[in-house]
Amino acid sequence: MKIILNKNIQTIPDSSSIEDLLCHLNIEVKYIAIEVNEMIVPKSEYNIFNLKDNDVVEIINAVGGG
Amino acid sequence: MPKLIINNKSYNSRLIVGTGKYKDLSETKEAILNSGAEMVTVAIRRMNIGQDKNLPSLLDYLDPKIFTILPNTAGCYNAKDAIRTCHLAAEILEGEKLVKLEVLGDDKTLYPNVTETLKAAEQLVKDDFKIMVYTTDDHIVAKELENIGCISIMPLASPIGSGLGIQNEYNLLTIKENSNVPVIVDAGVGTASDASKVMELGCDGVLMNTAIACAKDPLLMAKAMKKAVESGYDAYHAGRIPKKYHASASSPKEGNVCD
Repeated sequence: MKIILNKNIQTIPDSSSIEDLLCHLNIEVKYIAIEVNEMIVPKSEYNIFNLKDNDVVEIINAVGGG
Repeated sequence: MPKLIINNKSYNSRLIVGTGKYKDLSETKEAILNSGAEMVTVAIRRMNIGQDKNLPSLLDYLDPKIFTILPNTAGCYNAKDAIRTCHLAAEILEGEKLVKLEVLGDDKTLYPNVTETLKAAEQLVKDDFKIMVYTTDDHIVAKELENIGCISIMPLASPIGSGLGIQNEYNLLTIKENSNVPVIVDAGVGTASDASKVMELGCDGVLMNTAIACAKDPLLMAKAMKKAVESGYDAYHAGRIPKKYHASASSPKEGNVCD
């Protein structure tokens, strides 16, 4: 299935959880936030939150700024 | 120097610094250590997907257990985006709800959009955020933000990144005079004397980024800013002499051998 990840189309296996996605992307669950369709998903739900086709996913972190 | 209290935490340093515009993360950290700052601002942005997992991130360099991380809503031009960004920041920082609210009006001046800032502040207070708010040097607006529940008022000295220093010192004085929460001047500082001047006005602190990060030698400028903030604070509390039109000799008249 396809999701929109940080503005880009990404193909991932059907019914992947957020945890699966992060594992696939090799992203550590540390100081990040994830939104699915503009709703924040708490870290405690990454393993049970299954993504759907066309979900808009944002993976957000802190960067240098003023 | 008495400690600065923000959100029930006390700070030895009255200098808050940004983490943007540095050459790399190592320079960022070294400059911050030189500045003595204990609170640093960060931006909330999409992750660069595909980057090496082993590459350190900003918060690997600036451990949130050591530094107070102040997420900034920079880049937001309306209340809705700023509120969304604050909630993302809290999720990133394990529930910490101290934020710098900055809602901008336009790209050219990066001047605060006061209407949207007020709207965002009202909602964020309801959502239990502790707001340090970037605003204009208008004391009426500053008071409204304080009344809404913002815990620190952060008026600009001049536009972000301009280095123009304080443009309306009497406006800053009026804000400080009317404020019951810390007043931290944010934006516009160009060099050390600007930071001293802010403190000599009696303000509680200074926030800067560009003045350090874009100096020819950021590490040295960070040291200069640390001293400037401290000496400005001391000078204000020491009480400057009144300005006089005529001279006043420092040596006694009595005993002059040439008389």
